Amino acid sequence: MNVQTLFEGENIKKLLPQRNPILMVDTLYSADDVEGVAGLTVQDDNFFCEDGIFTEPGLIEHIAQSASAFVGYKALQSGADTPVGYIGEVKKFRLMKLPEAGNRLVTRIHIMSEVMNITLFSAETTADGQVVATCQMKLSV
Amino acid sequence: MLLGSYFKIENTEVEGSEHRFDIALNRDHKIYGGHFPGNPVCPGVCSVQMIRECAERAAGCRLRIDSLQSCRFMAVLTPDNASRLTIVVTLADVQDDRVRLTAEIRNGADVCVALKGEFGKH
Repeated sequence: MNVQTLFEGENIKKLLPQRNPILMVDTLYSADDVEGVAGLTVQDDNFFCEDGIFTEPGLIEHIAQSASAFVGYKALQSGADTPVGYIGEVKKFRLMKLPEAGNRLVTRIHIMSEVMNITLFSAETTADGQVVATCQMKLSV
Repeated sequence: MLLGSYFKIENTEVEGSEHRFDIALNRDHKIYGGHFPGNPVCPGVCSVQMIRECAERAAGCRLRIDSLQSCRFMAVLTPDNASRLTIVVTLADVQDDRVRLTAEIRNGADVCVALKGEFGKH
């Protein structure tokens, strides 16, 4: 399957200030006004992996960086610098299953509101196609 | 994951359901190499993980973060402005298979992180 991507590999670093060992997004698939999709393949040596399981903080960081990459992409498109995003709040986080090393994570970000410098969004993350977590988050940029 | 490398516990006090942990951050931890290069800032998710590891001590078992009603980050922590912190975990409802809890991370008198969630035992 040939999937179109906007940014991947080394290029993703143009959208995010995070670097290894805490870079938790490797692809931005798509971005429109309110919805963006980003992904990560969980490597064995991922900082947040324990005994081959990708743990909760890694999952939350991946969601935050998915949104950050999406917001960064929109900033680049409008000619602005990519902003540094901080998590302001995690709400309604629900974990269904912890992903495993080797899984492909795909996270769909839906922006609910953008007021001043606070972006509120909802997120759903799948691991190899199965929903593993949902949440809302406020990102300060 | 982080206890012993990212942070260490210097003192523990228990009063009823409230567990207080005085902790010190290790500013030489490798995570700061990526968050952010030349500008060390504590990742919010590492604060969540510290709470989980302290909660595991309080509950006496491994815990999985099944749900977070809310986790608010009121201040940006750095290993320089917050080398010493207090983590307060309050076990609100302990069942056989899960525990509901609230937790705060305090920097002096300031509450920097406030979490409310349900953690599964395993």
